[in-house]
Amino acid sequence: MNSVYDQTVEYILDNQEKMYRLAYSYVQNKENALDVVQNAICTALEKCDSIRNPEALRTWIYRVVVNEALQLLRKGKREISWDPGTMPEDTYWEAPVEEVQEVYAQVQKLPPPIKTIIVLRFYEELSLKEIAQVTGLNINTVKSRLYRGLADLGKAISA
Amino acid sequence: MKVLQESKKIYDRIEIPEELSQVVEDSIQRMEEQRKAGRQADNKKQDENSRQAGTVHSMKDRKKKSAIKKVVVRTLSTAAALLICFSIGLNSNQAFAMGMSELPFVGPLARVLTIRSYEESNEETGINVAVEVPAVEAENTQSKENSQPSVAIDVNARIEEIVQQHLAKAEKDFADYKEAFFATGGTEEEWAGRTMDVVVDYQIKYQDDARVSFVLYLTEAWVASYQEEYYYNLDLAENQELTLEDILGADWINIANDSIFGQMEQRMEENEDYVYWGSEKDDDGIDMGGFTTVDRNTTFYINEAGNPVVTFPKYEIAPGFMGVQEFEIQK
Repeated sequence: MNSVYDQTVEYILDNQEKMYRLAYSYVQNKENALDVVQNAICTALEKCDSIRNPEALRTWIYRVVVNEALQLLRKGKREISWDPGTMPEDTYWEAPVEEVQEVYAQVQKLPPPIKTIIVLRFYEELSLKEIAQVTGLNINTVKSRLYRGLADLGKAISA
Repeated sequence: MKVLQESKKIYDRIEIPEELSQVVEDSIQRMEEQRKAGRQADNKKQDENSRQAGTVHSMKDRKKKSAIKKVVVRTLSTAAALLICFSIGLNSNQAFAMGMSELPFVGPLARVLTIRSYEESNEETGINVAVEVPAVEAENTQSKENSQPSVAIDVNARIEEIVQQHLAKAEKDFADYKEAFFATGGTEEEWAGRTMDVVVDYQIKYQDDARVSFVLYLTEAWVASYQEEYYYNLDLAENQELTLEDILGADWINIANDSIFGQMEQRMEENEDYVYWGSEKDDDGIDMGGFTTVDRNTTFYINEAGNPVVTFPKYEIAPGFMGVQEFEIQK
């Protein structure tokens, strides 16, 4: 059970929900998100033998999912709309205050390169260094995009 | 900021569909079969056929359970995506480059060929190198006018220098990374034989009796990876490097700029996720750079139609996810 391939399979099984949420945050509907996960697994298992460092697996999987999601967005124009109606209804769950929902909606509208940074930082709680690894950007670019994203969000909310 | 952190709750509540675990298992299963099939080279073809049939079938099963209206279109597109994914292994870059360099040409004056090709793995440094160095072969390398140095020889020397620099830089980058890794408390165990892949490759874009256009790719792949491209366009009959002006005429700057701005607009219209730096007014005062005009340093290659294709490296005029941006300019 120690080959990189087996570790990758195990990681995917353990983290499929994370992969799905990340995919969903880009494509905004179930069918496309499932496609992204499916393609990401396919790509990941095909290329995982090239990972020499299993520690990098976590950020690498994020990278594969992000790439597949962006690829799906690029190919053929898919309809993307954020519809609060698709959120699960659960009486045990107290709906967040309006302001929070508004921020979430604004995050969904950010341009993908900036959204990636915000989602990974605040929703997946990655460090800036890890985000740099996921995106292949240098850390200063990650920082400047993060600030730009935060500035955009600030403007959108106060407006 | 706090509001943003709070909104994570909404993200965490993104509903996980029932089908997810099935989709995940099916995908893993299919890749597993593919791996096994890869080991049994004898039955390869047969397996592939049945696997592909199976793929399409199970994909249909999944679709049936869900949104019916999208069934036809979506099934076709996902099945296609999956098939592409399966065949990627067959088309490695190197094989492609070899195929290209071995294409027969009928009595050409010029051609680009692999002058040096090797692969090596250095266990000590952890660097794997795969190199295909191109060189321009031209009949007039022994030029009659010896006073004028041959452009082919000049370009070959420059390629050689770039390749050497790239290999040296890759080695240094990786050594620096390794040093930083241990300096920040990493252990030999954690390092666990990390490696870096360094690739030099090229692709011929156009060639006729006198002219040749090709791209040299230099890649470093490790935790992060990056690629550089160098473009070469030569007219060996005239013994010179081609410029956009040679191809487009005296008004080349306006012709190219008009075409590029037009194509940018079109692409942004066709794809709402596309954005070019500077194409929208930045009122938050962050200068994102962006395209303003072509100049003598603008890189391009010549495509099969003989048109110049202007290229911008990743990140230069657009976000990284858009990749290298290319614009074909009609002559």
